[in-house]
Amino acid sequence: MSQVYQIPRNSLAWMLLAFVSVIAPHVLWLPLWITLAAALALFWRVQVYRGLWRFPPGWFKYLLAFVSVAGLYLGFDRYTGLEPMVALLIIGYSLKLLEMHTRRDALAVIYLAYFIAAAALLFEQTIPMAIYVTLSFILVSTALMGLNQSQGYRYPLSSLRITSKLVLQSLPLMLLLFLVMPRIGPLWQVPMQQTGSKTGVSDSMSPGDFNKLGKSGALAFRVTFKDNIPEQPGLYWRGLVFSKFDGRKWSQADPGDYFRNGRIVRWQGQARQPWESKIERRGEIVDYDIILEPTQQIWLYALATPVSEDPATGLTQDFNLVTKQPVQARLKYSVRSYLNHRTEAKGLPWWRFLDETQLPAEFNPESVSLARRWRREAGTDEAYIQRILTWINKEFVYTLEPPLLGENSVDEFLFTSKQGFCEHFASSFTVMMRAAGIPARVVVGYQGGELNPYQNYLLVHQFDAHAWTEVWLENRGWVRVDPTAAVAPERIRNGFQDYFAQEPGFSENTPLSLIRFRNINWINNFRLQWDRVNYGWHRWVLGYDQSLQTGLLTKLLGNTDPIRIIGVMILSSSLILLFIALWLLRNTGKKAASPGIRAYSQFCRKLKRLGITRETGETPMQYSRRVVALRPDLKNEVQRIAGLFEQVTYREETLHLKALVAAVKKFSPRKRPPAGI
Amino acid sequence: MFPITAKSLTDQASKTGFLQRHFQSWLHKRLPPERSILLTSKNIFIFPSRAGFAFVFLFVLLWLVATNYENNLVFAITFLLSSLFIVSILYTFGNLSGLRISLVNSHPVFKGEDAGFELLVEKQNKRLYENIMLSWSGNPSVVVNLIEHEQKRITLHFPATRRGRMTPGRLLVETYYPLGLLRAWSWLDLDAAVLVYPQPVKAGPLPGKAGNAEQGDIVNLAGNDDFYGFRKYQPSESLNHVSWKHYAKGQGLLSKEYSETVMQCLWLDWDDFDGLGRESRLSRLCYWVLEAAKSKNEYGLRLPGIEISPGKGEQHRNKLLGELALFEWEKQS
Repeated sequence: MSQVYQIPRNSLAWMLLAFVSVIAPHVLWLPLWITLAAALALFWRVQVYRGLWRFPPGWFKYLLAFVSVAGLYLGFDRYTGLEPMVALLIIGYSLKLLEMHTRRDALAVIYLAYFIAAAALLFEQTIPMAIYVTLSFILVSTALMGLNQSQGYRYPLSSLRITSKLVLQSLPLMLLLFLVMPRIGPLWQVPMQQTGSKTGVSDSMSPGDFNKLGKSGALAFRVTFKDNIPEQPGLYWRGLVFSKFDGRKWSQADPGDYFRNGRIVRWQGQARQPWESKIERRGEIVDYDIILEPTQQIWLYALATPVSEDPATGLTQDFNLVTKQPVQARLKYSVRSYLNHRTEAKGLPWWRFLDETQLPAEFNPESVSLARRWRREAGTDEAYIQRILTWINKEFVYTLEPPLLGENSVDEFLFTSKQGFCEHFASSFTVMMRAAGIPARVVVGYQGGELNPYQNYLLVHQFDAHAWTEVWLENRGWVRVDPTAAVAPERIRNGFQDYFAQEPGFSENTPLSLIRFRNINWINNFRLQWDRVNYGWHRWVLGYDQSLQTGLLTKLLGNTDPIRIIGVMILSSSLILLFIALWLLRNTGKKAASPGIRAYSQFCRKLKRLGITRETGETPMQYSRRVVALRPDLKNEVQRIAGLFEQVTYREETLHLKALVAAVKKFSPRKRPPAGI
Repeated sequence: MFPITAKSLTDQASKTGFLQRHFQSWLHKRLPPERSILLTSKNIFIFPSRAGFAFVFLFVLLWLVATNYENNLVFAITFLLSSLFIVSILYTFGNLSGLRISLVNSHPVFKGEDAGFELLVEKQNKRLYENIMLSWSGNPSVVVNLIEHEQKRITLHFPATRRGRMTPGRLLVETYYPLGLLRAWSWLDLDAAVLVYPQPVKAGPLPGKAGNAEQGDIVNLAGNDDFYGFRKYQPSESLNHVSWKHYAKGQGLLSKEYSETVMQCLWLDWDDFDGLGRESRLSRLCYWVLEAAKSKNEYGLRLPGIEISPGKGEQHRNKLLGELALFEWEKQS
C-alpha cells in the first residue's frame, strides 16, 4: 500500500503567506505581466487550498508560463542582467506553486523562497529592507518547519514562535560569522542591476538644470573627516569641469587634444603621467572618507586637489576623481586633499588657451562687448574680476525660481532678468571672462554640507549642488571664483538650507523628505539621529570590508594570525551553542506531574480541609473507602473521582482526563454532612 | 503475556557480511538490549538529511552571490542560514534526548498475522516533543507527539512471517524536527520478541474421544450452573458474570466461570497427519488446538519426543500453541 503524500496544511498556509512576503519587495521593478502571473498562481493555489478549485489543467500552466516569459521578454532589454535572472526565478517559483504535490516539490518551493527573499537585498540595502527580509525569512522557515510537523495545524502560532526563537538564537552565531569570515572578493564578473535613473549633477549644464536639484532634499553623499572639518565656505566639492560652451549649454571639453599630454585619466596603479607634474601640492592636508549615494555616473566628488589611493579610482587631467564603473551602489572612497595648491601655474599650452577662452560666435553680443570694454578699463585681470563681482553683488538677485531664458541666455540674464540660480551666475561670469580673453571654465559639484552633530560627519544633499567658475591667472594657475558668493554671501557662508529653507520651492521635489520640516525641532533631531543610524549602517555594516575586518580583528585579537582567528572562532561559537543548548535542554530530569495527578492532589487538598488527610502509602482506592466511611453523603462523587483517576493514571485513558478535571473542580464538599444522614 | 527475550539476535548477523557483523556487534556493545531505554547523547546519532544537504547547497549558492556582488547583507543572510542550520542541530537532538522508550507488552500471533508490540513513549521533562517516528526497520512508522501528554502508548506492528520465536529487530526512533535539515535517530534493542504460532490450516473434525469418560474431568462450559472459579474478564463477555465483589475490592474485573461435568479427553497427535510435511502438520495441529479449546473437552498433544498431558483452560491452550510454535523452529527454511 503506497500512501499518497500530503503537504501539511499549516505548512501550505505558511508557504502561501511567505510567497506574498517574498515577492512583495520585487514588485517595484518586476514587469507588470510577471507580477500578475504570480498573483494569479497564488490566487489559484489559495482556491485549491480552500478546497474550492482543483489544480489547474496543463494548458493553464503553459499559458501562465508563456505569459511570464513574454513578460520577461518585453520587460527587459537585456537578458543577462540581475533583474531578468531574478524575474526568471520568480516565474519558476510561481509555477512550482501550482505543481506542488510531493514533499520534494514543497522543499523546492521553500528553498526558492529563501533565495528570492535574499535577492531583494541585491536591490535595496536599507535598514527597513534588512528587517523586512529577516521577517520574510522567519515566515519561510515556519513553512519549512510545518513540513516536519504532524500536528502543526493544531498549534499554528507555536510554529511561528518556535522558528522566531530559532532565528533569534541564530543571530549571535551569524554576527560572529559576519565579523570573522573572510571576504575574498568577486570570483567572476556578475551581471549588475540595470542602470537606474541618473541622479545628481549631470554631464552638462543648461540654465534651469540646477533648479531641479535645488528643490531636492535627497542625499548626495556623506563625508567623515579624519580630523577637523574645514570651514563651510571652503567646502567646494568638485565633480566635473565644463570647458565647452555652445551659447546655452556647458559640457566637458572634447578629449581629443588632451591626449597630447598623455592619458586623460591616470588610474590607480598606473605610471605617473607627465601632466601630473603640473599640480603643486603643498601645505594643509585634509583626509576624509566619502560615502556616495548611487549616481549611475562615473565621477566622484572631492575637495581640490585630491589624491585617492583606492583601487578603481583615477585622476583626470582637470584634477577630478573618477571611477571605472558607474556608481550603482553606495560607494565609499577615501581622499586626501591638498587645500593649498597650484595647478598649471606655469602656463597653458596654446591649444588649451584656445579651449578655455572659446565662445560660440554671434551669441550674447552685448555681454561680449561689455566684457571687452570693462577689461580695457580695468587694466588687470584681478581688477576686472573684482568689478564684475561688485556689479553682480549690487544689481543681481539670487533665487530658486529664476525666469526662463531664451536664445542669448547670458545677455538676457545680465541685462534683463538679473535673477538667477548658481548656474546662471557661473555661466555668465565664465562667458564674461572668456570674452575678455581670460581662460575660464565652469566647475560643477556641491558646496557646503550639513553637519550631523550626533556623529560629526557632513551630509551633502542634492540641493547643495552648485556651479562656480575657475579662472586661469598667470603664475597663480586655476583660481576659484564663485560669483554666487558675490550675490549671496550667506549662501556660501551658512549653506543652502539656511538660505532657502523658508522658500516654498525648498525640497519641493522630495515631498517626503523630513528636511522640509527642519524648523520643527524634534523632527529635525529625529532626522539627524536617523541619518546617523543610517550612516553607521552604511559605514560599518554595508561597508564592512576586508580592511575594516583586518582592523577590527587586529584590535580585538592583537594580530590576524589565521590559527588564532580559527581558535577564537571555534571557542566563541562553542560558547554560543553551549548557551543555547543549556537553555534548550534546561529542564531535563525534572518530571512534571501529569494533569491527572495534579487534579487528584487538588481533590486530596479539598478533602484535607474536611479533616480527612490522605496517609502516605494509602492507595486512592483505600483512601476513597475511608472517606466514604466517614462521609457517606460524598460517596457518589468520591467514588467517581477515584474511578476516573484510576482510569487516567493506570490505564492511560486520556479521554477521561477532562471528566476527572471537571469532577474535581466541581467537587466542593460541605464542612459537615447534611442533617438526616 | 510478556514477550520472550531474544538474546540470539546477534546470531542472525553471522550470516551477513563481515562489515555488517562488525557493525552489529559494535551496535550491540553500544546500545545493549534493554526493556526500557532513555535516549541521551550516548545513544542518539545525528546527521544532515537530504534536505539538509540541499540547504547547505543553498547557502553555498548564496555565499557565491554575496561574494560576487560584494553585498554584505547577502553575506549576513548566508550566515544566518548557516547558523540556523547549526542551531537546529541542537533542536533536533533535543527532540529525542530525554525520551524514555519502553516495551510494555506483546502478544503471540499466528503466522501471517501482524504482531503488535505495545510501546510506551514518555518524556522525562517538561519540554515538548514533536514528530518522533518509531518503526521496526523496514516497516511503516508511527508518529508520536508529546505536546499535551506526558506519555503515549502506541502499538507497532511487525509481520509475523516465520513460525517460532520472532524478534522484530531493533526499533528505529528518528526525528527530523524542527526544520527537516537534520535527522536524529537511534536503533534501540528493546529485547522485543514474540511467539509466532503456526498458521492454522483447516484439518477436518477433531479426532475421536480417546479419554476415559469415568475419570469425571471437569470441562469448562460457559452458561452452566455450577460455579467453577474465576478468570480474567474478556471484553466480549457478558457483564452478568462479572464478580463485582472483587471489583469493589480493587482486584479488577473477574468473570465467574460456571461449568458442567463432561468426561472427554482428546489427543492431538503428530501422527494423525501421516504423509504431510512438518509445517503442514503443525498448521493442522494448531487448528485442532484452537478447535479443541473452543469445545468443552480436555486435550493433550503428542509431538515427536514431546507429550503434553491433557488439560484445558487458556494457559493450557497457550502452552500447546507454544510447543507448536517452537517445535524444531530453527530448522524451518
